Amino acid sequence: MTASSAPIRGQKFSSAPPAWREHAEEALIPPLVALLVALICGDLLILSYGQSPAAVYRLLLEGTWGNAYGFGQVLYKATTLAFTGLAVSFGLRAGLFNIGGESQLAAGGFAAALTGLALPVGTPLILALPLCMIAAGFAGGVVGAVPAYLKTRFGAHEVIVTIMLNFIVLALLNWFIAGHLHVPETLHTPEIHAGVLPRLSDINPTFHGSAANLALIVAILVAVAVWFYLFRARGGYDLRAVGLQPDAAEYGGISVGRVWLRALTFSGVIAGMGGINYVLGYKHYYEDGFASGAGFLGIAVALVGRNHPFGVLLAAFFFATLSQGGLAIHAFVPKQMMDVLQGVVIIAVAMSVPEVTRVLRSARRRSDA
Amino acid sequence: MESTNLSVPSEPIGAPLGGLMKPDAGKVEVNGRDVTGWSTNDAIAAGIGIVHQHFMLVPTLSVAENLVLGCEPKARGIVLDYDQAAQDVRKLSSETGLVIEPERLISDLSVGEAQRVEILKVLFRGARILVLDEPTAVLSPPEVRELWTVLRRLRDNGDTIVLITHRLDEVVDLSDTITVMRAGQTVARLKTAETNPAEIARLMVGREVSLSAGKRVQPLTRAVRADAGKGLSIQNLSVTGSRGIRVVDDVSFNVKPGEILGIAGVEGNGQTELIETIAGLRAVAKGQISIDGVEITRRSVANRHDAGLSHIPEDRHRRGLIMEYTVGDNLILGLQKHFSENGIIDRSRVMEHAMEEISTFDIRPPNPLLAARTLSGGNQQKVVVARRCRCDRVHPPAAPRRTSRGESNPPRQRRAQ
Repeated sequence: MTASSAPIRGQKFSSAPPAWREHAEEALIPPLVALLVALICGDLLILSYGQSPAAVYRLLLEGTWGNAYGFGQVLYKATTLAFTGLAVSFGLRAGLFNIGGESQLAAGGFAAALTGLALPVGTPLILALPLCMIAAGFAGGVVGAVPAYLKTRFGAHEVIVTIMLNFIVLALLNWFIAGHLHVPETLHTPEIHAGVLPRLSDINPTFHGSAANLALIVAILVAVAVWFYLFRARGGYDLRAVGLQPDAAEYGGISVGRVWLRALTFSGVIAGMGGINYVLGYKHYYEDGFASGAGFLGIAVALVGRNHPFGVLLAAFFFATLSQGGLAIHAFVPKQMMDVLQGVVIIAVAMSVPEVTRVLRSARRRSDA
Repeated sequence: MESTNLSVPSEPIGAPLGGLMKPDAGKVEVNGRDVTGWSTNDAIAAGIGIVHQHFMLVPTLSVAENLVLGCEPKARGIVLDYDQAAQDVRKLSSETGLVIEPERLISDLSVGEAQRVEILKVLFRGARILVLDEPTAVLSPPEVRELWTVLRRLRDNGDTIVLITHRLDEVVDLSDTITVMRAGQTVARLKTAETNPAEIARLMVGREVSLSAGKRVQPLTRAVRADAGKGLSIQNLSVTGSRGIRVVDDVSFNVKPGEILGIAGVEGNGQTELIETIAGLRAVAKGQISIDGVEITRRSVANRHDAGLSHIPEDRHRRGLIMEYTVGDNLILGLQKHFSENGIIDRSRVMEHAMEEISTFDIRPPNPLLAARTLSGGNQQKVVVARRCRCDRVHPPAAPRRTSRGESNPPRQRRAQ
């Protein structure tokens, strides 16, 4: 076939709106619509308690973004959610649903604590942090690799395996702690010798009392790394191709099984690294049950963040705000209202994504015609 | 569709040349009743049955279960009455001549049999107006003859049949009236007895066409280079299909450099599996595949690609393109390795490559950042064709005609102009 039209080289692209704008619209508008729906539901809930929505929302904002302590707590909660959200979204980009974030997070925290205990007192952070992170990532990665292997080797569905592994891993960890490693009368390990992360309050005293620590920076760096991998590296090209159309990926010479293996394992690695936020940054020990749902909430964070690393960061911040805000408004409405609101947001996003995308696309077609 | 008027009197077999969709304007009447803007359920209720080109059957259910789907006979109000269903199917079967065992599973049927079930299904729902969309695309000649017998019988029973096809011999063979459509518009309404294939062809294309051109077998005039051991060689290849049945059985052939090999046969007889096996997407049960004397039987897709094999898949939407990827990203699918260094994709080279291929293959709109999904079918096909290894020599394309239905594909278009 030969060229029949004038050469295009050097000529500007067609007059169609740039593709990135289309992307940005489809990425941002559906969650915003969902947020609006959630706000309206929140209004109705607050009204049903006989309170003024405006007053409660003001209180919520004051208790979260309005003061340094509240804001610090939001950042602390957002950090763990960012890790687990990134983990889930990384798997989803390859078309895999990792529901094992909870146990991967716990295993990571446990490994980080063991490493921190094994290192001699006074090991510099520059050495201790990478070692603890490697240990945390490795532990999470092992938990993630099991379902990955079972899927590629035997075709076992990753959803079932990751869910079931949660029980197994959490029970094993509980047995380790309760049976061997705990400080008497507690369910946690002794304090780590090395690898303690500075808190934000060490840098800026106004954050005093809040648990926010440098793990936040690590989370942001991990998000950037995930973004780079997904959208700039060949491995990410292959991974997204497998997630979108496995048959086409296979046709393009990509080994689907190998991508699955890599995606689920690294999903576990990311979730595992989230353990440092609690262990190195906050309590300085591993405590049984510290994950307390953050692994599962990562699924919602990934969904609301539309599986984009930076979207996940925003969503983590949002969910952390709701959770911290629940404490701030507890005097007026039960803090469980925020759990309801979280549920509403998740459902609204699940509904609005296909619907709003469809509306956006048909509007675009109309303006093209 | 633009403006199309189609009226089919009860009984005759009419053959329009085109497709059907929801009307934006105009109206549809059945037996004088205005039924514009109805739903598929309304259509069924009004006695219209559509037999789709692609079967709409549940493969894990039996023939009888598929037929009664949606209107199951019930015993004591809740329990599905299988015996009644099977009995109903047998009765209809003998009335129409569409013979099929009601107990058999759809997944065990041949393509021709599955189509019989499709036709039975619409008749079972009481359809008196039968619309068949390219029914012969998947049938062998004896199966086509059988279908014709059944359709004539239905017509003689007083049913109305609308046959959508692009094959002139079928139109002339079977129909009583013909509606020729071109670019969505009715261009002619003819009585089959008063016309001839040449006239129909002229109306379809819009100018004189020579009907004999495509049919003559061209003698090989070029000398095929007789490089021994060069090209693609298949030795005693056997492949086991998804249901454990041998779908390719002891196939051997050689294709030398400078040669084009056509594989003829009715769809669903192992061609797809053969092509997919050569491309490396299916496991070989027995036999050898080699390129230029180098055996590639057990190599990966990527490895075969590097050995010089490129494959244009039959199913563009499933295998050929990643719809959400941009045109530029699609153009490097399978070539990622050559466009990345140390695992990082070189975006500027990807763009350069995309602009080059877009201009060479005239892909429109010429914007490498658009998602492949936004392109027209023909332009999507150009992307698939454009994306081949620079060093490649062997292309097995599977059923290229099917990939751009309703839109002439680029090489054909050129020939026609």
